[in-house]
Order: sequence, then structure tokens, then C-alpha cells
Amino acid sequence: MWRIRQNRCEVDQQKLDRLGEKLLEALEVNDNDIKIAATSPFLYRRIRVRIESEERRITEDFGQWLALLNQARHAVPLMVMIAAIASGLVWYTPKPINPSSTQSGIGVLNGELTGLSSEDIMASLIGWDERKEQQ
Amino acid sequence: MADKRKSDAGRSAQVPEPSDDELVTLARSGNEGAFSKLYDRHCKFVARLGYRFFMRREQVEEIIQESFIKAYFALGDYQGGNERSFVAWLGRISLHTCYDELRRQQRRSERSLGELTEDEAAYLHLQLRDSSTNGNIEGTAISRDLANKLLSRLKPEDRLILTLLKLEDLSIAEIAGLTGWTEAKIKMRSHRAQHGLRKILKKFL
Repeated sequence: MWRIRQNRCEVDQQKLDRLGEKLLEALEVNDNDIKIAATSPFLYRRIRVRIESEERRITEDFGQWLALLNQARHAVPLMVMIAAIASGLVWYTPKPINPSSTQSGIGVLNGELTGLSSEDIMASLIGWDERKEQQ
Repeated sequence: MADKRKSDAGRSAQVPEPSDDELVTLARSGNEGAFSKLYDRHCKFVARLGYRFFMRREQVEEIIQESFIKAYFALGDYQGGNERSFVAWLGRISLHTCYDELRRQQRRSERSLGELTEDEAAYLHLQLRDSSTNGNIEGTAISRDLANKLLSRLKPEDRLILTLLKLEDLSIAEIAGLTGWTEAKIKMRSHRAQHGLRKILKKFL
């Protein structure tokens, strides 16, 4: 029984394969259709137009790159000059005596002004309170 | 006068047609006529290949157009050599163009193109039932349109490999050379493609 079913399955598969091949054979096209597509009017002209526009685009892209490089070439001396001035300014600017004075406003907000610690602030407050009591 | 014309004709008959490689060299140096000649020579070959995968004339024209444009810009990569190498090279470009278009179609989910009308499904069922009872598959008539609809249900790579294997009668090694895929991949794909095709047809049995 099992063998019969297996044989039938194999026969079915062979049939399907033959049908599949027929399906592919059906895609064969006659020479006339090929000729019509190949000799389609203006097809070569269209190809030429596309090639020319593509070439123009490539040339324009290349031209843009060249222009950019040219601008960069002109910009190089200017950039070198700016860099030299900037480094000169850094070199000749006198260094601050107290490093904390160069700190930004964030440091001021955090109570880091003039390097006072929280203990110093507390001591000065207590001293201020005592002086007030004595008065 | 007649003698002169005759001698001119004789001289032109003696001038051999330039080979593809010579035309490629000329086209590379910007000779438009040489490229036009290459197009005239091989346009039908590309059209035939295009018709293996596409039904409509416009689609085939698009394949011809794309293939020749790609070929033009890749002329610098062409190495030349034996007699048929330009055809093989152009075939490779055209095949890749067809494959790209098949994939694009699938991405655009043009599944509706593969949908069978009720009449077509009934016809196919009838044909398959008759052929399975008579055992005469050869007598089954399948139109190009119907074949194309059924084959469009396959994955693009499966369809490509089946077409090259069964229609073009190419070997695995030749397909590997054309597609740039490994032989192992092609073997596996062809097996899957056969299975997929059986599965599609089984629905109508």
C-alpha cells in the first residue's frame, strides 16, 4: 500500500516536472516578436539620449568637485593665516594668576568662587552670629 | 563607369567586417558609429533574453535600453579575447538587468500580475486533469501569458536559474560564470526552484 502511494507520488512529480518544462517552453518567443522589439523606432535614439544625459551629469558632478577643490585651494592660505593668528594669541595672552578666576559662571553658581570651601563659609557665618550676640 | 562601380563593390566586399573587439576599441575612443554597430549586431540577442522573463514589448525595450547603457559605461572594463566574448559579456550585463527588473517588480509587489483569472484557473485545471488521466502532458496547451503568470510566482533567482537551465540549456558552471554565484548556490537554488514550480502547479491538479 505504502509502495503504491510512493509510486503514485513519483509519477505525479514526474508529470509536474514535465508540465513545468512545458511552461518554460511556452515562454519561447518567435523571431518576429524579437525583431519588432529590436527594431523599435527611436530605441537607439533613446539610448543615445540617455547616454548623453548621463555623461552630462557625470561631467557636471566632476565640475562641481573641481570647483570645490578650487575654492578649497584658495581657502587654504586664509585658513593657515587664521590658524597662525589664533595660535599667536594663545601663545602671547598672559596667563591668569588665580586659576579659579578663569572658571565659568557655573563655578560661581556652585559656590566655588575664590576657592572658598563650605567649612570656611560656615565658620564665617558662625563668627558673624557670635559678633552679633556680643553686640 | 560600370567597371569602376564593379571594382568598388569588389573592394568593399573584400573589406572584412570589424570584429566586436575592434568596435569596442573604437567605441571607447568615442566613435559613436562603432557603438551603433555593436547595438545593431547584438540587439536581437538582448531582446531574446528579455523575452525570456518579460511579456510586454515595452518591458523588453526597457531591458534593451538599460543593458546597452550599462554596457556603454562599462566598456572600459571589457577585456576582450576570444570570438564570442563580447556576446558573453553583454549577456551577463543583460541577465543582471533582467534579474534587477524581476526583483524590482517583486518589491513593487506586482503580485497581481501573477493572479490568474477564473477562466485561466479553470482552463489550467481542466488541462491538467485531462493530461493526468490520459497521461499526455505533451498535448497540454499553455499560452505564453499563462506561463508567464505562473512563473511570476517564483522567486526572481529561482526563475532565472530555471530559465537558464531548462530553456538556455546552460550547465551549472556556465550559469555560475554568468551570474557570479557559486555552483553550490545554483544547485541548491535549482532544487528549490523545481520544488517551488511543482508546488505552484499542484494547486491546479
